Amino acid sequence: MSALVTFENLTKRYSSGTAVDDLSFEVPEGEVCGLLGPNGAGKTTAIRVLLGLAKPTSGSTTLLGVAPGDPAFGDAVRKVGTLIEGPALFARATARQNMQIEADALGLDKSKAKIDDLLKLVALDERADTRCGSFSLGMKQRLGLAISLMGEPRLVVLDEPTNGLDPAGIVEIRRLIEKLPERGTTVLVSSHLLAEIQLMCDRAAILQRGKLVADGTIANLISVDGKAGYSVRVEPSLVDQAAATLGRVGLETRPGDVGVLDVTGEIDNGVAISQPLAQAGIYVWELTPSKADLEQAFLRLTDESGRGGTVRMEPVYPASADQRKEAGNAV
Amino acid sequence: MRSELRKLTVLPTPRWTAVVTVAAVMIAALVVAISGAGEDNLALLVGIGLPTWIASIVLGVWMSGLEYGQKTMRRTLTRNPNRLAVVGDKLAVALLAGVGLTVLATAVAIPLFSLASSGHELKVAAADTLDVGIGNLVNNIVYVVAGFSFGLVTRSMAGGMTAALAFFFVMDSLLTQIPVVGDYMLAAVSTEIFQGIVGNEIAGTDLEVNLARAIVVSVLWLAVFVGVSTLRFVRTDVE
Repeated sequence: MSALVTFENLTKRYSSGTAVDDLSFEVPEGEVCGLLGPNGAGKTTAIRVLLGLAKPTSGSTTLLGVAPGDPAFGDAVRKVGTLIEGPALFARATARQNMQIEADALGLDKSKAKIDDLLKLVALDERADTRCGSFSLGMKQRLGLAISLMGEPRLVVLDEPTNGLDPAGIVEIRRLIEKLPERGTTVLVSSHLLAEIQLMCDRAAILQRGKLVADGTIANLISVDGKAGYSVRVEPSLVDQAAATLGRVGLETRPGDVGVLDVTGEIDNGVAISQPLAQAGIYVWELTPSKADLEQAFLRLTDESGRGGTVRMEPVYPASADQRKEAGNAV
Repeated sequence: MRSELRKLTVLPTPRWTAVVTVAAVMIAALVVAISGAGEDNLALLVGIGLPTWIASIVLGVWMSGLEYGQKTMRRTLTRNPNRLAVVGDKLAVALLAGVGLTVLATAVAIPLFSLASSGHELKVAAADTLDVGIGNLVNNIVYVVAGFSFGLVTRSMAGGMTAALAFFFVMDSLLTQIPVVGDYMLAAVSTEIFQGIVGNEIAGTDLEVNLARAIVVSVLWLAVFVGVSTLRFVRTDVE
């Protein structure tokens, strides 16, 4: 299976600093791939270079196998739907007119039925002839997503598609994105919302300060930190003492909220934590099993990135599509 | 090109610009009906010239600045990453709009001005109105291109509009006062071209016209406007 997107040693510097630093990763066809990182990690810059909107300082990118600047890049980028930093809409035009502008830009004839289908897909068919300046943010995002699907794209690139949405809006957008592979569309979606990436993506690349810190299937990313553990709450002034006590019995701890320690290690049950603490005279206020998730993995990996290089969870492609699916389902 | 034409037809700014321009022509005709055309042809020159001149700048700036105002340039460039082609398409549609509006204003003015002046001693001949329309048409092409370039350079609709109006109403007009240099300013050569088309009587001046030089200088000005703005557009990352 081929890679629809490649970043190869991509670096982008501005006078204010380095936005992307030696970034290399690939997006295989047929998957939902997340580009994950905090605000300012370089996700949008990497996407802008990929789409030919910004020039790289060094390194290269390809989109459907074609590099920006290549005469064939125009054809390639027209097979890609995009939603970058919010929907780019003409506020004084209706939803339908915005889609007609997109259809014209793609050179599509007889686009009316296609427009109607897509407006229905994003549940805007009843507001098709309303000026989109009056739409809520969620409706605008949905319209932006519909526009990005106008040309039956092989790939859609979505930059923070759930930004600014309320929880219901986030769920709506996530459901739409999850449906895209069924239409034969590969998805590259950037977000700083870890839980969203975990729910909607097969794989992810994690960026921090412009550098790639990890890359792999969601299941593998989580499994690096994958020791399910416990969250233990004690008297806040005794947190350091509790961490030392648990460290002496071979458990790893990480500070959580005030008075809380996240504990991992060889833990059969909660007694492995409560007993040594009780023996040390520390009363446990609360003990909750915690499931390994992408957030823990992200925190651990981004901690590690300060000390080392990229963490590769696996070769870029698992041996088969089945294995990839299996890895994705394991989340 | 089709998507640029679609923007021209579905978005409100071009429509409102056309409405206001035609309204200005009708008000000028009303003034002619009440007070007469005047010996200096002021109603004719201002009634058609000024509205279509301003409209041409507005349409030029709008066509390039719109995408920055609406933050849609990245969408446009992901549909057509050939930036020179994007500039070409947009400029062609802006010119079409500017020329179309000038033709519309002239077409409205010809019967209206004839009718409005019919009750007065000094009549406005349809042929004279047509000449003024043609003279404006040539000048308005310059204003569309210049406005378009200002929008592209400033990457802003408001910024482009301010820069274009400041250039034409202040800088360019003032610099024409400088001997020799002033002869090569856009306002000076535009006036010469207009005068060359409509004739001294209608233009209300007897200044000597060097039409060939005026055309060459205008073309050079346009080449600078388009060249600088296009270069900036092609070389700059899109936000």
